[in-house]
Amino acid sequence: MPEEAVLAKAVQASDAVDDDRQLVEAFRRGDRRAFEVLVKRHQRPVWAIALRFAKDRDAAEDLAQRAFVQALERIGELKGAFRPWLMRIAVNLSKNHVRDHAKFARGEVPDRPVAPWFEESLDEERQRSRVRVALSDLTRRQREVVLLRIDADLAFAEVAQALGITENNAKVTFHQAVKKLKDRLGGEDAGV
Amino acid sequence: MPACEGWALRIVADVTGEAEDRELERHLASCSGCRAEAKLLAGTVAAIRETRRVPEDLSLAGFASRVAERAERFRDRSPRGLWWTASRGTRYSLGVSLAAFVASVALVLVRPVRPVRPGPVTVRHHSAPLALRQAAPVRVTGTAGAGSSATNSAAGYQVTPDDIEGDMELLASPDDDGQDVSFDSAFAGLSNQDLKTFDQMLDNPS
Ligand SMILES: [Zn+2]
Repeated sequence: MPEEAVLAKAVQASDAVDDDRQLVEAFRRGDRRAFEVLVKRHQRPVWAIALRFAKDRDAAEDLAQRAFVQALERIGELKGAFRPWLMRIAVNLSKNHVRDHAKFARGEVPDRPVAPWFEESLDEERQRSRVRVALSDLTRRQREVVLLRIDADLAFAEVAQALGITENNAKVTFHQAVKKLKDRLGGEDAGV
Repeated sequence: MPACEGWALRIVADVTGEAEDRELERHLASCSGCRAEAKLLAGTVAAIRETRRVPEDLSLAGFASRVAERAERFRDRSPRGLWWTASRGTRYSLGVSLAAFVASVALVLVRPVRPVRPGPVTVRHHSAPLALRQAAPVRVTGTAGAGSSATNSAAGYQVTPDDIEGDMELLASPDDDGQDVSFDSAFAGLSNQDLKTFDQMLDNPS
């Protein structure tokens, strides 16, 4: 198939591990547009992860850009599917960002919401706040699975691939996480 | 509902919208216990989704171009960038060639600056990879006289396999699976308290 056709097809495809593979190969052969297509296909979930952790929109943009640049830098190391691998990079960078920011936060509390673009009512915010606190009480592995399934929108098989665990294990971990959250929040408060 | 334990993970897949499961649907239609469980899990998953901070109108126009620009800057200033975009096979070949070159230079540099007494030469192959053996085949012991490069090494110094293979490890790691940016290591040192602090900072800014 001609290169142009591969690129055009790949941009439109919604669920195509094979197309990702073709794009990665095209990029490795020197076609820089192929990487741009990969960015367009996967930018939204990468942003979703970055936005959860970033202190503001600029920081989210920076995190999301760095995730892709790091993927480009390390593309020679990619062995499996592109998407779970990319999300793993995004989560790693985000966690590092939180770690650095948490150090800062222990000494100083900002005087304005750190996510000013996200407008919501007080009640909504209070409910979300409770869920976020409950999320932070999950084990590290439980948080990783929830984040990759919900924010990055990876299928459980892809979550498993990103974390080096079995698909069943990913589902069990997710189930335990959700049960724990449900117990913490109570059935009604969880919105059910 | 111990009898229904087998359905739990299928309910998890279903409430996260992973796949249509007709068999599960039929089971839910006839099992009130699982139906209640599915409803609770679905509600909690929805609550988690609500905590995402992605604005409805998030526009990513131009983002791919900005990434491309940043990547260009990275490639321009970083030889490592070009290095990692090469395929693993190419990297390995280049690594072996470069290591062999380094070893050859090392052999030339350790030649004596003053004439040495001719003596017996022992040439022994070591277990370096084939490509290295071709370029840097000798381990020289004892003294050697002027003449060919193979017999020019200085007395008292030996180019050991470690000299060469140290570079090999740095340059070519065919078994490297990218784990050095490991998911786990990125989380190491990040306590629940850290995350909580961050979340609380997000949630209670004042
Ligand atoms: Zn049942």
